Amino acid sequence: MIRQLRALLSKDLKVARRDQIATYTLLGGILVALLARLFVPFLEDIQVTYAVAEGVPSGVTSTLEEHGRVERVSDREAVLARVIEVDDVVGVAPGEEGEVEVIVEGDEHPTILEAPGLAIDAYAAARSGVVQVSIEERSRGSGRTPLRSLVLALAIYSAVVISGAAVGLTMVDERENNTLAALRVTPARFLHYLLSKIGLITLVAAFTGPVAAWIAMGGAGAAIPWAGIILATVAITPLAWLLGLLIGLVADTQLVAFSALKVLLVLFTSLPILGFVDLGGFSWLLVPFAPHWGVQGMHAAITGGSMLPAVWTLVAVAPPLALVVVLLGRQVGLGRARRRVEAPVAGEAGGEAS
Amino acid sequence: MSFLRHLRTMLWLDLRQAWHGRLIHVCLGLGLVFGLAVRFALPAQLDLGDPPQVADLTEDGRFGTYFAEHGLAEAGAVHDSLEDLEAAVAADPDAIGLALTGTPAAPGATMILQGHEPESTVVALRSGIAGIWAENGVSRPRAHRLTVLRPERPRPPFNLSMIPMLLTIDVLVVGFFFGGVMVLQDRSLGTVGAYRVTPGGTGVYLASKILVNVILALVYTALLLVIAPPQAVPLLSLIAVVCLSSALLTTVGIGVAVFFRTLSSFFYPASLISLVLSAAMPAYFFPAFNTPWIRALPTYQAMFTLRELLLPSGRPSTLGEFCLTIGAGLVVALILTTLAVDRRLLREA
Repeated sequence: MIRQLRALLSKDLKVARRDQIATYTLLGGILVALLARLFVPFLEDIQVTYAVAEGVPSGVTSTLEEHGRVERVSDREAVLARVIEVDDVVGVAPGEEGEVEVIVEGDEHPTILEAPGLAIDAYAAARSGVVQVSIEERSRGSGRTPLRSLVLALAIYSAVVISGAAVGLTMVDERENNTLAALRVTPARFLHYLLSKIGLITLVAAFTGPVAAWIAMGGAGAAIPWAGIILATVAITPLAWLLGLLIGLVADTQLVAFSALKVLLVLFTSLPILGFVDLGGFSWLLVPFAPHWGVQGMHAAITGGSMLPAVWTLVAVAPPLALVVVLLGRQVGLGRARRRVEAPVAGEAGGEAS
Repeated sequence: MSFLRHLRTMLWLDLRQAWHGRLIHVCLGLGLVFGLAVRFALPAQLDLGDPPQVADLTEDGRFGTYFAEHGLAEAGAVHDSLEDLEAAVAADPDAIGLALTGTPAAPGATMILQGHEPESTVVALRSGIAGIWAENGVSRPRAHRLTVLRPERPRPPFNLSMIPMLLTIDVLVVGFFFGGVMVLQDRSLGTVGAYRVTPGGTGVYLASKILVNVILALVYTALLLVIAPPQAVPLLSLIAVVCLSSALLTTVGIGVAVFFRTLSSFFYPASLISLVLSAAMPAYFFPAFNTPWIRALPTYQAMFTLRELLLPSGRPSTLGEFCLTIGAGLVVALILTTLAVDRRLLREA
């Protein structure tokens, strides 16, 4: 069995190397992590842009620079032209009787509507000598934003799960190129075939999970909770098997495989975001949904929470995975051809005996 | 005439291929599911920002009414002591705590922060605290006047605001994938080899693939908008935006795909390009997120142009500018892709 398994795994690795699938699969997960790491700082520090006209007191402009980004423009007309563009930009122009005019469109977020006026009033109050509010600041010392934890969890989870997609696509290639038909006349059985596929996915996942985590969470010198990350990767890997085997099961051509991927990637990598939204009375819908638990498990690993979601991932993925394995076994049919060949021989022997 | 005849034949073959490849089924299925979700499942109002956790520790308890008027008491965000407030902030990694202390003659406040808040947020909080005191006994001059350009146009409902995003991501970005996958399928089935000996040239081959994806995009758009009607449907403008964007991204997808031999090897590079194109999504939900590279993405422009068409805010139309930009991009992409398809696919030995 080990020899046949090794032969199949070796064949899959050769195919993966030939079409550079292995390279892309390994690099794909790493690049997802890298993109997440580069993109998160932009999201964490979304600042309001102020279009400030000439003539606005320099103290007001300096105050606004502390609150966000300042774009200096020539006059009120230029402010209006900038404000009506599609992004949210607050206009600031000299007003009448020493006032400053704050110009907004009206459909901005409420905080954007209120913040510039409050800042300008606070600046004016400080200059006019009225009583100031004494503010004490206390910090809990948490360096990682909830948004960062969420994006990193999704990125590392996705890096692991999509490793199944490439193997699923190679299964479709095998079907299109009649490799399966050739395998049916070898001693290989479905178990060998299955183990070679999930073995390949596991190899890739075992690499991409920790490497993606290392890159996404800051690389060398960063405090990475390795135990949790490895546990979560182990729990998520069966989801990668499920994704790969599902593609192999439902797709007979590359085009169908892509159609399947379009739907499956929504299920596997987009819908789990719902776990971070208050769904009210509908939150129970997520309970049997293994991808939800997979992302929650990775999130718990990153935030140092309970790893129970990772265990739930394994429980929730077992029934669909078992069903897919059974259906795939029937479809692939390895081992049956030989039985069919052997059966008439046995029948003939029985006939002779009778 | 012969171009049109060849195109008709090729288009029919490609449509059949799209049907057998379940591309049409997926488009219809996703249009149906997302349409129903927008219409019935997604809420009209969604406020992702948690209310601040607060405590009124002033001598005369003057903020009780203010907190009640702003819905903080109802949300369970009002606490009786600094210890309770600190515990509430510790329990929610998103929360910010604010205790108001002192008197109007000596106003004070304690901010309890998580530590990850950007400096601009902390500065804004300080201004906000001064504003709260100004409404509750501390007099200060009002130094600004607010001009609202379109007070009659509030923010559109959350569920309907998902439509432009879904159209952009699920129709246009998918066009990028579909176009590429159709070429790779042709290569894998040997259709390309057969096509080389037919009188149809590169133009027919490319036009047919683009047309199929434009048709799929229009079908998806129609289905989504019939199930979940937006505030306006300016038909011709909408068709122009969907057709141009879909044609551009399909052309780019084909141009990229000819450099790969199989779908498996195309999948990851294509996914990464799609991921970058999808980076416009946060900017759509938080329009203050407007870094130059995000604004340069065709998906950013498509999303906001579609939003203005389907959920008009009264802004001056950017349709003309969009059509010119995307049209110019399409011409460049068509030239490059025609060359790539000609050299790497149809003339390949």
